[in-house]
Amino acid sequence: MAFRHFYFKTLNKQISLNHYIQPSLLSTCLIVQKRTGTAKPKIKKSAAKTQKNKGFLKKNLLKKSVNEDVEPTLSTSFTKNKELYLPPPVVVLEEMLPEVYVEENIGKIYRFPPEIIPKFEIFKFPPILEQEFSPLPYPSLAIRQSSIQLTKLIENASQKSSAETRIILSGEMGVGKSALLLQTVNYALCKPWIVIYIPFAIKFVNSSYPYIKNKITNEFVQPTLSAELLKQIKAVNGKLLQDITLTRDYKLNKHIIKSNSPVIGLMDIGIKDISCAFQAFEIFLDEIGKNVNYPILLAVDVVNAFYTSTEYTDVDDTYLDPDRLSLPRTILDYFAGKRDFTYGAVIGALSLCHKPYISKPLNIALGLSTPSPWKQYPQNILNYAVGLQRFDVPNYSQTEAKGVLDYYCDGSSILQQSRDKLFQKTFIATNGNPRKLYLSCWKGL
Amino acid sequence: MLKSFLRRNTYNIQTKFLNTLFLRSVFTGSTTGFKLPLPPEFSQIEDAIEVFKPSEQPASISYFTAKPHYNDLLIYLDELFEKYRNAPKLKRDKNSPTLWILKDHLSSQLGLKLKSTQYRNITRKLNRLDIVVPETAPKLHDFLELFRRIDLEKKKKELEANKTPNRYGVSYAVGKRKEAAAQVWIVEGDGKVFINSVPVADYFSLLKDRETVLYPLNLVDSLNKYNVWAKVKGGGTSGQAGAIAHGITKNLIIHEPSLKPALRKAKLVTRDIRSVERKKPGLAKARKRYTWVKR
Repeated sequence: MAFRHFYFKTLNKQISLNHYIQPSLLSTCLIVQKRTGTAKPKIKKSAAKTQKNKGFLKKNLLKKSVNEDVEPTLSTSFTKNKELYLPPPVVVLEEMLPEVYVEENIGKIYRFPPEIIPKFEIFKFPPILEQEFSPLPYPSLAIRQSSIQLTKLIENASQKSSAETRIILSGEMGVGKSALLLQTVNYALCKPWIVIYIPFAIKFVNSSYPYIKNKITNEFVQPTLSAELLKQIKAVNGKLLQDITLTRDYKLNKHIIKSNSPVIGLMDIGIKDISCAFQAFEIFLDEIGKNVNYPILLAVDVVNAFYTSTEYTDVDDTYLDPDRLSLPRTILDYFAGKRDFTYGAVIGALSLCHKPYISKPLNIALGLSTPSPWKQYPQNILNYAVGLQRFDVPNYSQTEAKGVLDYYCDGSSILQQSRDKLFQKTFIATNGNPRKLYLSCWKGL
Repeated sequence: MLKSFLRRNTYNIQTKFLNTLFLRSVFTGSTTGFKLPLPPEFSQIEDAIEVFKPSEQPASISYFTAKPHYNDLLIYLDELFEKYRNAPKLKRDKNSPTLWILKDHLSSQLGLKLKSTQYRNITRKLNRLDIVVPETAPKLHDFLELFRRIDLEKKKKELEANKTPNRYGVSYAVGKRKEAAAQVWIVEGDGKVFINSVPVADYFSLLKDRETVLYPLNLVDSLNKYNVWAKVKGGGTSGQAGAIAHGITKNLIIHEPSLKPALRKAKLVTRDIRSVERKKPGLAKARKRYTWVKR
C-alpha cells in the first residue's frame, strides 16, 4: 500500500514545514503525486446574478473570476489524519550562476536564475525536459563533471572564432545531452553573450511551417519560421543588441536600412515584413558575427534533424535535403565552419529519441558508427559534418546520482535512513542513467 | 555395454594359445602344456581334434565352455595383464580398495547369472590391472571405468563443492521460473550485476523486472557486497527476471546459510512452480469457454 501525498498550490507562499511524515510502509518509488488528474477541487462559486432584460439575451453581469477570491478546498473532507495530507517540504535551491560551475559543486542542484527563466520561456525548453521539470518546484539541474568541462571550452571560445569551437554533444539515450546544452545556454545568458537557442530543431524540418521557393537561389525559404526566430532572439537579447550597429546599408524588398543604425531595426523589418524575414535573418547573423563586444552562442538541440532529409517535398514530390531549405542551411554553414562569428561557439546536441531523424552520415563523421561499404551516403550532408568536435556525455557518477536522488527525496517524504538503501538499489537498477533515474523515482518505470 | 564389448573383442584364433596347440597338449599330455592323466577312452582324441578343419575351428576357446562370455572376459583380462606386465605400478592401498560393480549388476550387464566364485575371479583380475599407473595406461583405465562402481563418497564431495564457494570465493547456482533458466555466479565485490554480459539496467527495460532481480540482495542489505554474473535463456522478460532472482537467493544461501529463514519468509527460496495451464478439451483455452448459445 502506497501513501498518496497530495501537493497543491496555495495563494500565499508556503511556510517551510519541517514536518516529515513517517508512514509505516514505504513504497519503492517516490511518493509524490502532482495533481494532474481530472478530479478537480470543489470550488465555491458565487452565484452569478442575471438581469432580466427586455431582450431575449440574458447577461451574467456579476461575473467573478473563479480563481481570485475563493480558496480551493479539497473535495474530500479530512476529519482524521490531516497530517498525512500536508504539502511536501519546500526545498530552497541556489541560482545557477557562472560562479557555480566549480569542481566542489558536482552533484549539487541549482535552479535557473529568476531573471533568465523568462528568456527560457521565450525560447522554450526542449519538450522532454519540460516534462521532467514539471514535478519539481522550479526548473533545476545538477552540476556535473561534463557541465564544468563544457563551460571551460566555452570560456576559451569567447576569445576565438566560432569556426574553432564547433561541438556536438553525443551519448546514449537519456544521458543528459539536452540538459547539458541547457546549462551552457544558461551560462552564456548569465555572462552576457548573445544566445541563439533552438530547443527543437525538428520543427524546422518536419514541414510544420509554410515554405516557398526562391527562384533565384533555387532554395526554399520558411518566412514565418524566420520571423518567429528573429522575434525570439530580439526578445531575449534585446539589451545587448542595442549596442550593435550595422556596418553598411541594406535594402530588403522595399525597406532600406542605413549603416550605423541599430541591428534591432533590421530585425523589426524582418518581423513585420515576413517576405524578407529570412533575408533579414541572414544579414543579422552576418552583422552580429562581425561585432567584437559580445561573443555569440549558437545552440541547437536535436541537431541531427539538420543532417537528415526533411519532410518538405520538392516540386517533383521528392523529399528535400536540409541544404535545400535556406534556414537550416544557414545554420549548417555555421556548424560546418563555412561561416563564423568573430567570437563565439556553435554547439549542437544529438537526440536518439526521434528515430526517423537519426542521421547516419553525421554519426559516421563523428565516429559513432562505421560506414558500410555497400551503401552510398549523401555527400552534400557529409560536407556539413566536417571538422565537428565530439563531446561524449557519460552517465551519472555516484556523487552526481546521490545529489540528484537526495533532491528528489527532499521534495517528498522519504526518510533519511531509507535513502541510502534506495540510492544503492536505484543506482544499480539504472546504471546511473539520468532519464532512467528520473523515471524510476517519479513514475516507477 | 559390457556384453557388446565382449562380442566385439572375442579372442582371436591367431593367439599363441591355439598356436601352441594348447588343446592338444591338455588332452594328449605333451610337454608344452600341463599334463593330465587321460583315461584310455581318450586315446582317440587326436583323431577327434582332426575332425575340426581350420575353417571350422571356433573363434575362441570359450566355445567349449559352458559360459563363453564369462571365459572370454577372463581371457581378455589375462591378456591385458600380460600386456601391462612391465608397466609401472602403484602400491596397492589395502585401506581403500577400489569399488567394482556389484555381482548382480555385472550379471545383468553381461547377460549371465554369475556365481560368487566367478565374480571373485573377475574382481581379482581387475584388481591386478587397477594397480597400473593411470597416466601411462589411459586406455586401460578407460576400460576399467566400465567396471567401477559409482563412488558415493566422491559424489557427496562433488555435491558439497557446489554448496560452498570455491577457492576464488565464487558460488554457483541455477534458478528457474516458468520456462526460463538462469545460471548465476556470485562473488564478493562492488555491487555490479551483469546479465548475458549486459548491465542489468540495459538488459531489462522495465523497472519492475530490475527490481525483482535486485530484490533478494536488497532484502538482505547486501546490494554493495556482491557482484553478480548471470547467464539466462528461455522464457520471457519477467520469467528470466524471476529465474535470476531465484539463482541469486540460492547463491546467497551458499555464502551465508543464516540468511535462509529471512529469504524463505520473503518467498524467494521456493522455486515458483506456477506455469502455463494446459488447454482443456471443450474449452477455447485453459479457462476460456466458447460462447454459450441458447439453442
